[in-house]
Order: sequence, then C-alpha cells, then structure tokens
Amino acid sequence: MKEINVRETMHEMMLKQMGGKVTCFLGKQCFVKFDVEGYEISYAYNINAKNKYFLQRVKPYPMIAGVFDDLKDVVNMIEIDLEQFKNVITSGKFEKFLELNKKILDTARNLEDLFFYYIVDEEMFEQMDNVIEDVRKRIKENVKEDRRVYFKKDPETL
Amino acid sequence: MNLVQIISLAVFLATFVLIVSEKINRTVAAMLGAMVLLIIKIISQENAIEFIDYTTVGVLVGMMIIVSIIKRTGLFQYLAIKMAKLSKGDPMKIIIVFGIMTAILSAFLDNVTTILLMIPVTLVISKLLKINPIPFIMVEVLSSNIGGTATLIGDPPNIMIGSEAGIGFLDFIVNLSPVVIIILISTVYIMRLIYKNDLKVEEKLKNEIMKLDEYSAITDKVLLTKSLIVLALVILGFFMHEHLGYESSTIALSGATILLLISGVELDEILVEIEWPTIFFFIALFTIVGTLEEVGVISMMAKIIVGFTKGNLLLTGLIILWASAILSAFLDNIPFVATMIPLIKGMGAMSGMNIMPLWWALSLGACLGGNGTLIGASANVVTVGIMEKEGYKITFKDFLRIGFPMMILSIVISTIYLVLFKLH
Repeated sequence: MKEINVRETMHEMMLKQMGGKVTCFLGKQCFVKFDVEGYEISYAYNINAKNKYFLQRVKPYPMIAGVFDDLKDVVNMIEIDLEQFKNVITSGKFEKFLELNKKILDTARNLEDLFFYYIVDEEMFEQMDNVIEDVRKRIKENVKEDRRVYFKKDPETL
Repeated sequence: MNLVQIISLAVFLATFVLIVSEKINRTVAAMLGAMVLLIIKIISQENAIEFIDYTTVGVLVGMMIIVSIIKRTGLFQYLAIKMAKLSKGDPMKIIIVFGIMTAILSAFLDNVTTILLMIPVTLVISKLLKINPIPFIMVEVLSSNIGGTATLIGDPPNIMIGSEAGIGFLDFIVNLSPVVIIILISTVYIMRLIYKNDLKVEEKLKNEIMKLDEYSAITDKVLLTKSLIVLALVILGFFMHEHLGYESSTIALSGATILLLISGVELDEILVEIEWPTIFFFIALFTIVGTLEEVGVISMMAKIIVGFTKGNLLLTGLIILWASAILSAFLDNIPFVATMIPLIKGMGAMSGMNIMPLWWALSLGACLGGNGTLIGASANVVTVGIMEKEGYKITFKDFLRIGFPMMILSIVISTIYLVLFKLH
C-alpha cells in the first residue's frame, strides 16, 4: 500500500506538471480468465464506489468493452461476449478470424505511426479512406438476417 | 521470581525475539504474545483493556486522519516544489532545504508519513536533475528521525513518554527542540559535505526545476483552506492542551473529526489509509508490557538497575541515553520504550530521584538511535523498501556507513546537552 501510494503521488505530480487533471479512485482491479476449448478469454475491470466500471477485454485480443454504471452490466457484458466467443470458436473459423483481427489492429497501429512520424500527402489520405470504406462496405454486405446466429443482443455497430 | 512472573517474562522475550528476527510480521508477533497471556489467563480481558494507552492510540489515529485529508490537497507537493525553486534548482541547496523541511514536517507528523510524502517529490526532482536521489533520501530519512524527536507528537516513543509520564507538548518543545535543532543542522551540513560530489549538475538542468509549477500541485483550494484552519487549531490545541486540561489525543481526534465533517471526503477512503498494523502493534504491546508491570517483573528490574546506579542521576541518565540509542539502532524502539517507561517510573518510586531528565534521555536515545542502522526505525525500513522498488538499492552496509556515525554524533551532542543542562 505504501509503495502504491508513493508511485501514485510521483506519477500524479509528473502528470500534473504536464498540465493534466488527475483523479484517482480507490478501488479494486479485477482480472477474470476463461478457458474455452484451449483459448484464453480474459477481461479486466475495476470496482469502485463511484459507480464507474471500466471493462476491457484483454485476450484473445484487447478491446475496450465500455464504461458501465452498474456492476451487473459488467457481468452481463462478459457473459454475452463469452457466449459469442464460444460460438465463433466452435465454428472452426476462429483462427482465421483471429488472424484477420490481428491484421486490422496492426493496420490501425501502422496508420497511427504513419501519421505521427511522417508527413502524409492528402492523396494518400484519400486512398486509405477509400480502402477502409471498401472493407466496411464488404462487412455490411454480409449482414443478412437469415445468416444471423446470435440473438440475445443486437450488434452494436452493424 | 514466581511462576507467573517467569511465564510473563518468557512470553515477553519470545515476542521480542519474534519482532527482532522479523520471521513474522511485528504486529502479528505482538498480537500472538498478548493472546497467549490472555489464553493462559495470566491476565484477564479487563486488565488487558486497562493496559492500553488510549492517548497514544488516539494521537496516532487522529494525526493519521488529518494527514490523509491534507495530503489530498497537494499542500506537501506545493511546499516541496516551492522549496526546490527557492533553492534555484541547485542540489547543494535542495539537500539542505529538503532536510530541514522533512525535520519540521516530521516534528508534527509521524516519521513514516513524512518520509512517504517526501520520497515521491524527491524522486521526481532527482529525475529532472538527472542525479542519484540517494543523497537527498538519506538526508531526509535521518532528518525525519531527528525532527520527530523535538515534539510530543513527532515520534511514537515521545507520544508514549508524554502520555505515561504526563509530559505536555510544550515541555517537549522547550526541553528537546534546542538540542534537536543543533543536531539537525550539524547532520544536514555534514551530509552535504559527504555527498557534495554527487550533487553537481549542469545549469540547464537546474532550469528544469524552475519550470515546475507549484500551483498545479494544489488540487482543492477549498479543502486546503479548511485543512489549514483545522491544522492550525490542532497545533494551537497541542500547545495549550495542558492548560485546557485535555489529553493530546482529544486534540488530535477532535481535529480529525472536524476535518472529516467539513471536508466532505468519503470516510472509507480516509480510514483505509490509517496504518492499522501500527495501531494494533501498539495495542498488543501495551497488553504485554502492562502484564509485566502487573505481575511485578518491571519493579524487580527497576530494583536491579537502582542497585547498580545507586540512584546517581547523571550515571542513570547517561546509561539510559546510550543504551537506548545503541539498542534502538538494532531493535524496534517502540517495544523498548514501552518497557522502559514503567521501569523508569519504578526507579523513581524506589530511589526518590527526579526522573524528569531521564525521560529526555530516553526520548533522545530511542528516537535518535533509530538513525544508526537500516532497521533502527520504521522510516528507514520503509524508505529502503520503496527505493529498492524504484531501482535504487541501499544496503545495510550503505546505511550503516552513513547512519551510524551520524547517530553517534547526535548522541554525543545529546550527552553534552544533558550533562550541561539536565542531569544535575
């Protein structure tokens, strides 16, 4: 506890000097791990008295799952996410999906590095936008009611 | 010696060995000893409760609550940055200013709390100056133990001595602060001399310190105002507590309660920061030492010491000072002082000598002795542990090389002070 407090104060001081407004909650950090057919599905979330729960999926690939006001919603979200992973894993196409997902995440990082470290032409920006829009269009084209397999919750982005 | 006395002494010694050996947590060791005494019915539940010194516990809890709330305002960070800027970012000046600041804070706050407030700021400043933080940290840890000696509330041994011997806040300041100031100034300047080669930095790095904004450290101005008012009232209360007829714990706990009431900070968040292991350590120790007193072991020991010193105040005082210092350098000074208090009281009752100077000898020896080794004081252990986690190792030998000579110097100064002004 003493070491945590010292580190907290140190980092708080450095971040404040950078102009940040630092708010620290007293809470607990929780990690939950599931084993589905040999694949690790894990999540991290925090519990505090401020009714703000940050849920993040850690594995098989990281993704912010959202900020919830109720801990019940966190459990509900994990339950749905886990069920969906079970479905995908049993479909036999999970490895392909993981590979594709990794590529997309890596591409996002590449894009960030490109914009952070280099001067990018307007034309290149346009080309990228077109390619990404094309991929999104292809994804949406595949959304057909008769091919849907999960009904407990509607998709959030499609 | 009867069987009850032998068993009580055996439990006390076994507890002491467990605390010193650090095989198990010191609080668990003390609780174990107290529980054994209760289970084998050497003392009753009622006796055990009577032995607990609620003044000591109250001062500790009250001050921990107050500090925990003030800490949230960013006041200590503000002060440290301000001091570093007033020193123009010069490490040779910062080492002195931080040493003195730590000692002053430590005179009013617990030593461990003070050092925990100083370490983060010191690490950030050292990082900006691109120098090793160990010289600053060593000065701060020694200064925290020195500063804590000056007041009733600065160090747990003083809280215990003040409570059990009925010595007030003002008495501590009047009798101990002059010698503490001399020890502090000597220590800080000698330490600067020792570390002078490690404190050289380029001018442009000093400018990094000047760029720091002390005002950004203040997080809540309203809470800061409230906290400073309550803190000022608490300090005023400590100065006047004897006059007003209040125990120091009443002052500390009243301040803590008012601050909890007006701060609006969640109670749970504050209480979680209290050093509960320390509080339980005290409670268990009071039970064990109270038992020794109750069964007559302490008066037997007092008789032996009085027989040896023949009631000579100077000899007794110097033995207490030096023995406390050397033992406190290697042992936890809290159980030592808890045992010494009834012993000194017993010696006073038997020999009829004026024991007041002996309290000052005990306080100076037990508080300053902690600087002798890495394990001599809780502040040292905590500092070394945190520094190691931050990648700066301070070995037992490293600490001893600096701490032990500085401790001896402080005890020599204390000896001169006591011989000249108190022990006659």
